[in-house]
Amino acid sequence: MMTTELHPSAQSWQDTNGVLLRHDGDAVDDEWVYRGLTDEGEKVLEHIEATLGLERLVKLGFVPTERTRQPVSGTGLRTVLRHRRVKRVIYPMEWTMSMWREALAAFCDLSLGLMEHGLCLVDAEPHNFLFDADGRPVFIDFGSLRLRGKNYWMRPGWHREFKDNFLLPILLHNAGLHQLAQAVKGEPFETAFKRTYRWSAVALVTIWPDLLRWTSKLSGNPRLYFRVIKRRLARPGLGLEITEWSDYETQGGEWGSWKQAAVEESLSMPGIGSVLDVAGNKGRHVFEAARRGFTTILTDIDEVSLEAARAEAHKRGLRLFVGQLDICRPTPPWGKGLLMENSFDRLGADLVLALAVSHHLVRNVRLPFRTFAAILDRYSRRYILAEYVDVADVHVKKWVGKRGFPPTGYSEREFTAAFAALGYRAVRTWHDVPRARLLFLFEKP
Amino acid sequence: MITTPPSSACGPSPDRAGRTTPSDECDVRLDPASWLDEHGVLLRGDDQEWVYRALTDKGEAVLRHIEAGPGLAKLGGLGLVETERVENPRSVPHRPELKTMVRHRRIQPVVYPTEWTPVMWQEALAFLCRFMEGLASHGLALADAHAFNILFTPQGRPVFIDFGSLRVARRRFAVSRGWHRELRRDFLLPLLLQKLGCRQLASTVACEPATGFVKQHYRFSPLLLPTVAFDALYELARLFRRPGLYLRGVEQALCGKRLAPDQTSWTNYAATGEGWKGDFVRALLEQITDAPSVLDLAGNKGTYALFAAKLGKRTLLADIDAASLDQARATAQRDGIPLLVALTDLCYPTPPRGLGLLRPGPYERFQSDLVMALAVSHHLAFRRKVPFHTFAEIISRFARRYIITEFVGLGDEHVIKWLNKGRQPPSGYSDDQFTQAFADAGWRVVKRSVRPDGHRTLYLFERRPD
Repeated sequence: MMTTELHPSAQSWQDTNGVLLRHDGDAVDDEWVYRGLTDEGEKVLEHIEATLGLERLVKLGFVPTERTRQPVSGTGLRTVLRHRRVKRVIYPMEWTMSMWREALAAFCDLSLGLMEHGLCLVDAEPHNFLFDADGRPVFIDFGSLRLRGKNYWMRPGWHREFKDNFLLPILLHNAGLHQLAQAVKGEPFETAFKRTYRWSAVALVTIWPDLLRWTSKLSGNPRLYFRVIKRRLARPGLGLEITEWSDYETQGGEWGSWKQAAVEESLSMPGIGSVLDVAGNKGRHVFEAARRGFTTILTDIDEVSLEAARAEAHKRGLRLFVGQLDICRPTPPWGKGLLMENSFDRLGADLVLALAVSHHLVRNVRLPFRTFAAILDRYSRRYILAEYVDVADVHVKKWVGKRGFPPTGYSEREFTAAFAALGYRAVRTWHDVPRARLLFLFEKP
Repeated sequence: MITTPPSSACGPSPDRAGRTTPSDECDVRLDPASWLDEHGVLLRGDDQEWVYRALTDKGEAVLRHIEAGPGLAKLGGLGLVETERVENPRSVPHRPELKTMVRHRRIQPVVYPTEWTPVMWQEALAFLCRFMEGLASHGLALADAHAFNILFTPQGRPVFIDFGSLRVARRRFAVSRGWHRELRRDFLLPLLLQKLGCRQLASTVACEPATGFVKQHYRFSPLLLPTVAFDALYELARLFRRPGLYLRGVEQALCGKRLAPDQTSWTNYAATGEGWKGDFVRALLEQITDAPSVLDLAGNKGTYALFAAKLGKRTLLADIDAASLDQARATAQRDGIPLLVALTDLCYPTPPRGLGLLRPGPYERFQSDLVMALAVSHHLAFRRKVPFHTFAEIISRFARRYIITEFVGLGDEHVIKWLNKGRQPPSGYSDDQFTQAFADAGWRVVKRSVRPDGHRTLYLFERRPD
């Protein structure tokens, strides 16, 4: 446990229950996040301890939380809680639609549980959930807990927030408007679309939750509301968007073994504690990292593949963080003052894997190798394992001459030069001669 | 120190013409944000005044066409950013085959189109149309119609910065259909929406990347209808091979009448305590000589920004109210003061964008030696629930050396009005918490001045050396 003094964190929202705290300077406690409570927050904590207890709160889906005795600088806050830190933050705009549904189910369960004990959640925000490496959503915002009656949930303001922030992407997705659902999912705060959709045809898909709210309110049964929402919107197995990558099998047999051997050798390099696979499809290369106990993150643009990876990790009992992310379009910082971190800072790792992806990016979005290298560099803390696919490759040679492929400078020399320009040196190379593919393990000293 | 371009920023000055540039002594590196361009790659050097571009064979052909025809100086007159050929350039790292290099005058700070006021959008469109027409008369054309290819100089003039977009026109009608479509999506759509009164949607569309939802799908919605007239105009101009008909038609339709931006509560905002505050701030701006760049956040009509600019400091005025910024620009242009403005919400600045987020966000682009944030912390605390430590963090990210800011106490006449309306002060709303928040963010108080009634305090903070 760190013993330095705590200060209010700039990222903390103005909250009547308390503020998030940070340590002096750049010190970060890897295990815990601290929260100082105001008088209002203390009342909530005392109520919880007198009724269901913090342990039971955790069983309802709350992040592991306990009291602690850490001094807080100059704020007058006496009571400090600490919450178990979820080691990688994947924001809702990076969740797959299945993860949205799971978070919604967890929200409904937590709400029903709290209702039993005279508590409620004043915020209906998906951002208050984080997915832990075991694939389970945990609720992290103690500041959202209030001592309120059961009818609080049925207030129009609360319901509007719940519908706009939590239900809308799922409702749109269920209505087949997949692209719109993706666009809305990516909106981190109230935008023109969320302010104006009520006057468009899109509002039709949101009518039934309004009717349900009225039914629950008139019958005095808020439980009905959450149960129906959960049954209709949060059940598993509802469709995901299938893309060209959903059944993409990059390689098999001996070739796959060759690549897997390179990955395993890279994982044995010194100083590796975390691994990120960008565009990792179904995650075949990261399971070994997870098996070795590294903090492992898998990102891809295709949610079907990511769900397959999550299922496989669950089956094997591996801890894996998963996020739906386009390698070319990382999540920018957002929120007040852009203080919520971008995906580079949240998901960065000691070793970054980028296999069988650079040639697709050059062909599909004309991404130059130096931009590709610059993106990976921002994710990487030390190593990058990247694959160069030559024009002689069996897949790539079919593209030659079409859509301006290959562009000027598509060469192995250009590929390695892009990383060299950023200060990397190739410490290991694997060459698959028949398929004209090369794997480079780059290290930044 | 970052040097602002001289007032004659476009076209080389006589003493520069023909001489060997100093860049053969300057190391350059590839810019990762540079697109995979058939005409060349962008390079950065250590000097802050120039950006370099190494040209491929295709780029060289364009340069030769320009030099044989109008010349770079004449293109500068049309609106191309000041550009000159680099004699005896050093070899480009990792691209030794690129032998020809030009350099462009660097304009700082960079204000993206997402931070332009509607009037600036109009000016940029009018400029682009005239630039394109001028190019067409010299057998040249533009490949792109991106708003990001235009920057505003501190003199308030738009310039075209993307030499890589220049092409030798192959057809008699230089305006390609692709260019028109891009212009329609990036320029006409947001301006038409603005004209039609859909201002919120217009600003959303203006901020969207080309892959954004509205830009991708507006063709399948009623939003397409207002743009149809421009399609017809284009086809007509193409039929008669008169690009001027199309370009001037677009300019007349969308830029002929100045757009009136939304009136917000800040448009007619009257600053409080001018005498006391003005004396303190002006004295500091004069005294602080080691702060060549100044950023005035939430600076409204730029009373202090204009003063700083007059002192010769590179000044940027940022505010949420477009009408106030337009007024500040008009004052600056009338008085010949170099001033850049940026439409920015202090709470929600434009995030970094583009492929790999390689186009930097406002903290990198607007970072200045001295940042002013006057009469704003109380508005943010009461109206938007921004705690002081968040406020201090935001201001800190913009500031390199100094911050001039203001604490407004609960006894102030404006705050009393809010309290009377039932608005509660955020927890920890006190002068001590205010200074503590800046102390936690790494700043120390150098100077303070309390208003005679004791309800407002101005601070000069300096970054602690650690």
